[in-house]
Amino acid sequence: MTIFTNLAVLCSGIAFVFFLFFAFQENKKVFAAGTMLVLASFICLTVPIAGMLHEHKLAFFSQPGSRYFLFAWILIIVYFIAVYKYRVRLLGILVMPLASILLLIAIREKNISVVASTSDWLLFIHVGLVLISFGILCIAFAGSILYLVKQKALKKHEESAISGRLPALTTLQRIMQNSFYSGFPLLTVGAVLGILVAEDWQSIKILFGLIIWFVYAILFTLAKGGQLKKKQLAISVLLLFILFNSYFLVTSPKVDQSVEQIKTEGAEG
Amino acid sequence: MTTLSIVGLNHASASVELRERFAFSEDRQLQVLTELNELVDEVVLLATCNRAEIIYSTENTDMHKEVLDYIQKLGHLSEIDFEHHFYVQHGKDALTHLCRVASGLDSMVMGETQILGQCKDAFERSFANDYAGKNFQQLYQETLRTAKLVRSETQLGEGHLSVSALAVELAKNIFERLDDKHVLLLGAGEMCELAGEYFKAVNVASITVVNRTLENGQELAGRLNCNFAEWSKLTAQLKKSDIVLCSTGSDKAIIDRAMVKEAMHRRELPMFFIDIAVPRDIDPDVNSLSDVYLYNIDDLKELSEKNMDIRQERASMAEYIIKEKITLFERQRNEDIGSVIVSLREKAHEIKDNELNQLFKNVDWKDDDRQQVERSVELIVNKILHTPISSLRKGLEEEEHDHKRKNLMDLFKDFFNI
Repeated sequence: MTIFTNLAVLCSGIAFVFFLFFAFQENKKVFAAGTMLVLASFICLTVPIAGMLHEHKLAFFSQPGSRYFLFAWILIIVYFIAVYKYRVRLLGILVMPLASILLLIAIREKNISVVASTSDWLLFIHVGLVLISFGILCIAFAGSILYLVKQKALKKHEESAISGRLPALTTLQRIMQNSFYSGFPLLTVGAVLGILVAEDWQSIKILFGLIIWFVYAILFTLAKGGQLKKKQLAISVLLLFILFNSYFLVTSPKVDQSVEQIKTEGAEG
Repeated sequence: MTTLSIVGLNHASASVELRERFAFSEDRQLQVLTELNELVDEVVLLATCNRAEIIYSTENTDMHKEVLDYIQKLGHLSEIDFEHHFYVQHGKDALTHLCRVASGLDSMVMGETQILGQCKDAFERSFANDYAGKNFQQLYQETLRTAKLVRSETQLGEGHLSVSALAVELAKNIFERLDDKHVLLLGAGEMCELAGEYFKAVNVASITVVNRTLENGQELAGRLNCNFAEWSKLTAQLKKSDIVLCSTGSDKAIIDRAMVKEAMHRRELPMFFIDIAVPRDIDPDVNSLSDVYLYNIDDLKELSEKNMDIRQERASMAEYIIKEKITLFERQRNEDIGSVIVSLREKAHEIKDNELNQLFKNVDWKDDDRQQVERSVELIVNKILHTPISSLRKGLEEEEHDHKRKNLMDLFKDFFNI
């Protein structure tokens, strides 16, 4: 299984290099090669995920390491859908590094001991929805970055090599808005299910999760009500993305373990 | 290289009055081709609004004069007119010219893509009617390959130069689609008309002309077949529009920040303003509003100059590609001759080596004698080979028709069994 995960990291990493090259030197063959590598990475990732699912059944979703694998897998699917739907080839330069980092974390976290207590369908749906909503938010993040690049070039009347290759501003606006809007209901349902399956209501994971949902809800309401200008929405998406990443970092099993360790040392002391 | 010759005139060498004399109908073109085909072996007529070129090949060099006389008569041209406005090219120069034309390098709007299709049609017509055949097939394929390579490698046609075309290009950079966008033209001058035509060509949802002088505005709206609104309705029109182009003679700004801010209220899509008037019609502060993009005449000129530089750079790259392709084409032909000569030499030396081995096997030779015999036989073989090889080289040099060169080489190979 390790060879597949390593290959997946390698393919997504090389795909990123190809996409980066494509951003500066528009060459359809380079983009096609990058896309094939993303596909290869996806296939390589599907094999260990299928293996782990077969081995652990639904308990797979409660394992800390596996959620990163699953997240990278979902991210690639969302990426393919977005590229197909919006025809924005430059999304890869922003999405692929994320996928590579997730896979690297997944490989590292895989060795951490797992406490798989709950393994019911609610947990499965909760994890799935949260990861899909975050995957969609990653596309919104990529769309926002590209939107800000294009917007700045048009405002300042200075087209750069990258902004010149980007599609129309309203296309990027559509990617950003649609992804931002569609991620929220999924996260809401996922969060509700998370509360239902939660064993400890006062855990940092639940509290931080609720804060993120609350921030997302405020931004969602403002954007839907036309209170946020497009540039403000793009910046909001970036902030939300940072919040999501902080959530993943804070709720990482390594952090949990360190907290436990500090608590234990404190009690002993 | 195929004996290719080109006689023609284009937008750079001749006036429109002169070019018009060679703007033939389809039937007339076929008639001209038939008449020319009586003088030369193969002929293609490339006739567009910007050029008329006769591409032909003939074995008989005396026929060049006949072709020129025919063209002179065809266009009712004096000798001076012909000399001043027509270009005549042969061989490698003609092939280079053809590649440049097909690539759009020689077009009035450099890099335009239509010419490649026109070249294809011209050659296909001659092939279909037997005015051209074997000789031109390879040439045609080579020209197409080169033109496609130039386009794919250089993106020669990208980047507009005129203010109106740039305005449309910028609008495409902002809006995903233009067919649901509303354009407001402020002013009724020539620039507005030109821009209106460009926007009409990209099928915008609607165009509305607003002008202080009612008659001029209505007249322009009539010419563009679009809407007209009175000056007093400007603010209302602004709210309905996505793209606003201003070119009035006003000495102060007509559209200010407050007007645009009001128009932008609760608006989902951005607004694009193009101000090509001097003095400016739109307050520059408008550009600082969120989701509003304003370009004035200087911005457009700067873009045009930048595009011009890029085009020049790409043109140099395109010229280089054409030069390389033609050199490669020539080299490939020379390699064919080289491989035949090498095969002949190898075969002769193989025979020589076999015979010498037999000779040395039967008799006990001294080393010195042996070497001397080897040297003498080597010399004999080389001398025998010299004449046919030289004749082949000379024959191929003199013969420029590809199929005849091939026949000569085939004959040579059959003769020596190689």
